[in-house]
Amino acid sequence: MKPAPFSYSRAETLDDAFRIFAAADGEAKYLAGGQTLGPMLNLRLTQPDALIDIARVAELRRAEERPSSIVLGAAVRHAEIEDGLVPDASNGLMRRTARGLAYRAVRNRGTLGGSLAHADPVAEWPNVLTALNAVILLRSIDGMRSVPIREFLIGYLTTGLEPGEILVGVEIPRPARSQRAGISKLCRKAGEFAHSLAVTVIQDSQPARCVLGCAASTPILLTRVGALVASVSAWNADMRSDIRAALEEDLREAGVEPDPFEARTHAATVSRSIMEALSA
Amino acid sequence: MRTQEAGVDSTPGARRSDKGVGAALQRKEDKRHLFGRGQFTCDLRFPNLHDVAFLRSPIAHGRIVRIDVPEAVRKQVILAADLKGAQAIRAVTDAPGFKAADYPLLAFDKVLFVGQPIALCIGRTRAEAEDIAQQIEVEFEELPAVVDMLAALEPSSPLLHDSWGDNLYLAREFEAGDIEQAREAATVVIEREYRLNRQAGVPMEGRAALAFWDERLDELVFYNSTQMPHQVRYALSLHLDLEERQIHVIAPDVGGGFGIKNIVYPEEIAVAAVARHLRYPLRWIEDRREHLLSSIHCRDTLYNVKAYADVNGRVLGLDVEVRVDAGAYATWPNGPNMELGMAIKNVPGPYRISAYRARGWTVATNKSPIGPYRGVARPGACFCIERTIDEIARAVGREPHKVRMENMVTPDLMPYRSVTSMLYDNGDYPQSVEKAVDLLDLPAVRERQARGEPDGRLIGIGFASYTEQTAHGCGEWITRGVPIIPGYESATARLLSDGSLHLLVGIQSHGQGLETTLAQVAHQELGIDFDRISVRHGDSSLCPFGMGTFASRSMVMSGGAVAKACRILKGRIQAVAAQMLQCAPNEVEVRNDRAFGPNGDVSLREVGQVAYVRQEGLPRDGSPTLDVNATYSPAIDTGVFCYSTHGVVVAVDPDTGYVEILDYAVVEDCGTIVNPLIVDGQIVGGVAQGIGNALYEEIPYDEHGQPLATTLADYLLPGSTEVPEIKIAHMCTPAEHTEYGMKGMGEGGAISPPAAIANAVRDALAGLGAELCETPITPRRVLQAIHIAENRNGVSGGES
Repeated sequence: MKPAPFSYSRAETLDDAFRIFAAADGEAKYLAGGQTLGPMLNLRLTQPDALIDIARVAELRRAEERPSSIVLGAAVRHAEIEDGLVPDASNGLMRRTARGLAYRAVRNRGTLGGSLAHADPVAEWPNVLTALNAVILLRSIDGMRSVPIREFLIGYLTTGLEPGEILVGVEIPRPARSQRAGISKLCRKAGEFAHSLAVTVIQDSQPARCVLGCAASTPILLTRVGALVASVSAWNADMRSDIRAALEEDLREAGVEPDPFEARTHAATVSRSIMEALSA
Repeated sequence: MRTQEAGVDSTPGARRSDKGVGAALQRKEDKRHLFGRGQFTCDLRFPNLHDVAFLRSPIAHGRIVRIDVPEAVRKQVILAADLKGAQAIRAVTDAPGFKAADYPLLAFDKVLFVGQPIALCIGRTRAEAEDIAQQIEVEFEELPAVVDMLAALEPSSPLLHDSWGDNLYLAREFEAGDIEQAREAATVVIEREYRLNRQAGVPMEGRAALAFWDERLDELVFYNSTQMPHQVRYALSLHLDLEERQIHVIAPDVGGGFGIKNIVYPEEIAVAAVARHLRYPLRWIEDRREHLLSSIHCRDTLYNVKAYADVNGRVLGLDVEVRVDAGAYATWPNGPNMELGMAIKNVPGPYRISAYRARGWTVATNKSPIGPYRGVARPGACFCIERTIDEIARAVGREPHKVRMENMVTPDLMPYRSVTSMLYDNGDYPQSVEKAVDLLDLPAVRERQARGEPDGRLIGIGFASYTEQTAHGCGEWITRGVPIIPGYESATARLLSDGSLHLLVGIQSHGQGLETTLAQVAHQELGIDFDRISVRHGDSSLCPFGMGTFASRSMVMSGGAVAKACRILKGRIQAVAAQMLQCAPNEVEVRNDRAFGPNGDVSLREVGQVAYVRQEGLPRDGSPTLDVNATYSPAIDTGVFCYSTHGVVVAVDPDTGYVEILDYAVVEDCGTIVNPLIVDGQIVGGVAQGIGNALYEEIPYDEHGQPLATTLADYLLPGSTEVPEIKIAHMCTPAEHTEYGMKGMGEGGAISPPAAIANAVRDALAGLGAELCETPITPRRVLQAIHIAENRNGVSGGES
């Protein structure tokens, strides 16, 4: 389990990175925290000719507070979110999420942008940021563009990133003080990949955003479940069967056919995320 | 962790010492390991060291049509035809009807499992060696894979080994007592199928071999991460055209074995075979993926049981079928047949069972070969009988622990000849259950269970007992039909000229703390300062021949050898000291690094001086040096039985299928304890592995014979957050036939957890009518069991 040969260069600035990318022979890949790319290289599942390390690019390490949003740089690490070292636009949801994400050793190196660019539907950030209605900020040599996260996540491990383009940050709308959220994840042991993951974000006067991961190639926005949640003000155990029915409808519409085990576990995480949000 | 009295005071012949037998000493080994200064095979540095990567079969079953090696790397690639003077592995056992098959060092005509080595590639680094492997192209003619062991026995199944005519390594039958009569007398019949799925051993350090030819000594030096360096030397002499005098095997620090390193693998012999012709050292360091693919696998056993019992739950008879999925080849030395034999022998467990019929089959499939892993067959046998005892108890409406105790062999019947002819030597089996019930506070658990949990989870409690044959001798091994009979151990005790002591032992320590416990034994016998004793092991040229560490044998066997050698040495010391002290040898007492006579004393340093460098001070008939070699076999061949009851409280989430362990208790009796810290450590480590077996670890194969867990992302191991604090209570019934009354105990911790946890889950789900009969107990399997029960009972559930 050692990688095939590749060249390695570290970019100090984004322009640096674009320049190295353009000059690279063969296939080039950007490297951030390396917590997914590293193992994939070692297993030789990917064999790029060149790696361009962008983990220390200052522009990617920044967090910016705007009047109606917060922008987190792509190279912000999970541990920095967990430790509250960057501003929060989720009333604590992102910190809670980061705390349960993989292991601390992974969180020390793994980055927000790396996770989004990898676009694994079982990972936390694609689902949580879908629930938070985030916007993905992309830059290439041609300039900047921003894409709503649901358009950015195209499929399993597939995004709207163009060749050479870099995911530079995530813009998260500032929440109302009343915004409440819940997350529920099932993974067989601490730190492992989830096999069901649900996030619920409730904001007054808007439909709740319930998102289910692990069920399809991208996070699923559960609109019927969201509408159901918006219609109540407090958790009530009797909601479970309604949630389950709404979830079944949402999944059917998404073209997902869960087996009985998946149906049961997804119903559990969705209900629990809603319970947590309503009880917050 | 709570430890109750270790009971050494009650041991006849073992006087209490702060550094001797029974002392809770920190390990001598800890310092180097805690400072990260251990020397494992991959830590060794030699000039011009080259790394090996193996090209492995990507398919489960096929003929090799062609292997294309690019000319540029041809010299760095070794194929089967390039291996000179090396034999394929042939493990031939004496078991009647056993079919042998050559296990080639490198595949050349057929491949029989995914991961089987085809080419050995040499690079300056492992990455370079993998680059070379990647350039080799192999054309296969794929054959249908034999994946399911039941289908493998069908006449229509494709064959792994054409000459066999079927896929059966061996079949076994056993019958004692009248099973038909038991069936007729029974008021309760329990019929179940239990399955323990395939898993891997996953020691912290994987396999490793480093080899070079020493021109000066005209010998092959072979560093190996092994549990048995002397057996490795023997194996290399069988498989290479070298004499044993030309083979020097060294096991440096070894990071765990658990049976996985009780095998001599084709990769290891291939590295030795190639390195002996090279001018530079060659090493192969297994990575995790290779480990999960191609190290021996384990468990993978199917039990079908019919149990007959009376209205009180008294077991009248057991009728059992056992099927073992043994994979593609027989490994050296023992092949795959121990699993079946031990399964059949151990199903009756600690119980009085008079009628027993067992039939079993060991089956070849296109998977990695299986072999011994901590507990060997007994976790499955324990699962079979202990799950069944619980079902009998449920059927007669009684608490399982009561039915368990009533069926057990009681102390007044000891020594007890079991229905499978094992001689249980001593102990109080029912008391171990009682103590476990107390440790978990069963009434409080029942109360909590009845109250219900606020989060909707279901509470369950389960127990599982076993009795484990340990340190068995020659006669027992002969009955198993194994080619090597590990019925003894050896030790050299050498008092040096300054009064310090070398113990050279044939055993190998890879986490058992034998550098500490064997020094404790020497201290017990000679009174020499514990810190002035060095234990040397793991070197075939330095140490006397020994079998190695496996089968819960080392402390009894090697401890016995050390005690014996030290006693002979003491006689030699007394003789030399008597001359110096002008008294009779039997008047000399040896303690506190000195020899005391009636009229004075001398230090062992002074004794050592005389023995080595001042020959004129020796008695007239005395010979110089103080160097004693002894071998030891226990006084009985049939082993000494440590026994234990594990109890566990779980919470099962019926919405998600998740099982959380809330409380775990172990009550065990391993006779005299040499070092309580090490015994408790062995228990906790064993339980951790047992929890892995019960809840996490599994290598499934798809229908093409592709393994589906080849990295630790898919193969889940319990981590610190999955292993609860373990409550431990000791009982102490010293063995009558071993030194100090010791019994082996290394494997035991891993035997009960699958059964105990499955019984607890069963207890939790009793209200739903669901039960778990398969390991690991994954969330999916729990929900499936609930789903099946709901469909059977209507959605309302309820125990039928």
